[in-house]
Amino acid sequence: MYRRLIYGLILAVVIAAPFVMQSSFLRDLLIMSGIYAILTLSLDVIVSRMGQFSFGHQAFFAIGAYTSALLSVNLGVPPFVSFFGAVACAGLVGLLVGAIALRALRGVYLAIVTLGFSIIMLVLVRGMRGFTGGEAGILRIPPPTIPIPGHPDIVFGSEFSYYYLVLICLLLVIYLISRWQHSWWGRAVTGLCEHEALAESIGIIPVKLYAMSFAFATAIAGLSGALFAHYQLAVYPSLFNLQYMFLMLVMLFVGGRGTLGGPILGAVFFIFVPKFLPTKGETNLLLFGAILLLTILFMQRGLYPALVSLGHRFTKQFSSVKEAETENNENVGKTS
Amino acid sequence: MAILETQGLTKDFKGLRALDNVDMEVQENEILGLVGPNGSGKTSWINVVTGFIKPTEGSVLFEGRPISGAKPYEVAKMGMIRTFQLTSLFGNLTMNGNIIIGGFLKRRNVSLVYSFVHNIFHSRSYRSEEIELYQKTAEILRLVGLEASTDVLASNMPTVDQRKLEIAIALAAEPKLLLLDEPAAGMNPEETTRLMSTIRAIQQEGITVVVVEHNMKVIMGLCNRIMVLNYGVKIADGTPEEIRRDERVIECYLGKREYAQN
Repeated sequence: MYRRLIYGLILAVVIAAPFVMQSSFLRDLLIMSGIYAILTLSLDVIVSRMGQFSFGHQAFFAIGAYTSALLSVNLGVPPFVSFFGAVACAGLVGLLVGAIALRALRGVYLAIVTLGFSIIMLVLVRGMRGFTGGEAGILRIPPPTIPIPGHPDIVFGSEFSYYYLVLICLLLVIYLISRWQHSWWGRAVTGLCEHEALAESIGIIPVKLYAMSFAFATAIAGLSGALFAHYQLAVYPSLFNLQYMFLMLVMLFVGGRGTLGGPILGAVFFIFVPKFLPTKGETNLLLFGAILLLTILFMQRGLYPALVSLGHRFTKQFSSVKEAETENNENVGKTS
Repeated sequence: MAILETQGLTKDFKGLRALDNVDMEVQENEILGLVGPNGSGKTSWINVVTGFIKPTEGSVLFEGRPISGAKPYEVAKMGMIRTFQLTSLFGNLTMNGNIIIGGFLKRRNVSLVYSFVHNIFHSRSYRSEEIELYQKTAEILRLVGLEASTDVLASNMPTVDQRKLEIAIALAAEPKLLLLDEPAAGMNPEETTRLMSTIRAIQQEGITVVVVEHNMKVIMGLCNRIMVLNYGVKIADGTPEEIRRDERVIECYLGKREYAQN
């Protein structure tokens, strides 16, 4: 019962946020938190639901960004349609990479191969100047629009409107991931991740499930990339850099793996907090590393699970107080 | 009809011969016991027959068709499901969750993507499948003798219940042939009796069962036929009565005259 109340409250806060945070600065942080939340959620699919390491996940974020940019700038595809293209492209590349890499590789080897993949992509994109604009990247990416006949188009050009676009995408992703978990697909991967031999003995095909699920994760990463591209209005090869990977990892591990709230909390934390600290750049990295270490040492499951268990303890106290009160009242009634 | 047959089945592990030219058959709907001293090749036999290990020589035929080289998941799809000697469960899932995943092969929509889409839209077929799953799970729990319990994690269950859960998972896959690797390990006499009646009930369902066991009470009391392995070689094959009297078996495994008198 409390859970619904809390979710409702959080939803209300989240919907009302741009009205409370009216400055461009804060709204920008909200939007970036949302985009990174989607990206980190997609990484969690690989890390927690599949139990695998991907050290090149940012490549799919960048592939999504570039695909949507190329489609809308070079081919004049309407931005929302190009979003679908970005998701499809990131998903297909993920399927290919997953099918090859997850056939035989696990753990460290998988991490190296995925890392290698992202570096190859970086070099390719930087090199193909004619196609991708090379080092200069792609500029003047159009903001998403919804055409309405007889009215001016709805343009998601302002921070206010873009926030709601990102929010809708985030809610959609949360819904999709939770439905996925409860579908046969999600169950099969969970089983595979828990005990591969047992899963195989009841007919689950490891490579197929791993590749499909990897594609699912990379497709979502592609969505976050497309949202990024049409917000920043420019994409560069540097999107393939490892700094995005580290940021995702830190958001995931500090926020809380294996939960839906963890990646979101992690994203919000690591987008907002650095902006309100006097430290900059490299000192920030140091700080992030320190926070990560502290989390692993003291709050192993992450911030979100820690908050949830705190909440449970609080509501338990609350309900036991209520029980004591009711008992007391009953006893009072009896003495008369 | 022989549901399973091995011909000249041999497996070498770098100088150790785990299986040596094993010719045998499993008749449909029988309970076959597989016995032998430790290291005689019983688990290797299961591993080779179900595709977890490739044979060095020889062939395996399921329902008359050769299946050598098939992967474990292909073997499962054909209808052969095995359990493991070391307790194997999906530890972080609930008891019901384990059994549900067991039914993976028997799901309604063969396409995983399609079933995902159904789940997204909470379609009628998704909801009716959920009800079906719930009923099926309850039946299986009753069959193996587990109390329905909502939240217990598999890894927190008592060992005996875990062994029952393993069998439950295998049953959820609706096997034609069920291979149990030491199901009675760690059970006391009362639990063993319960296990035996569970296996009889499984046979009643039309399923063929192969039981690898050390517990001779289980083997003698349950099996229609018994096969005995020693150092990878099949040394005897017959009814419990025949095996009890077989001299080679007595010599290598059952111990000398004292047991034969039982």
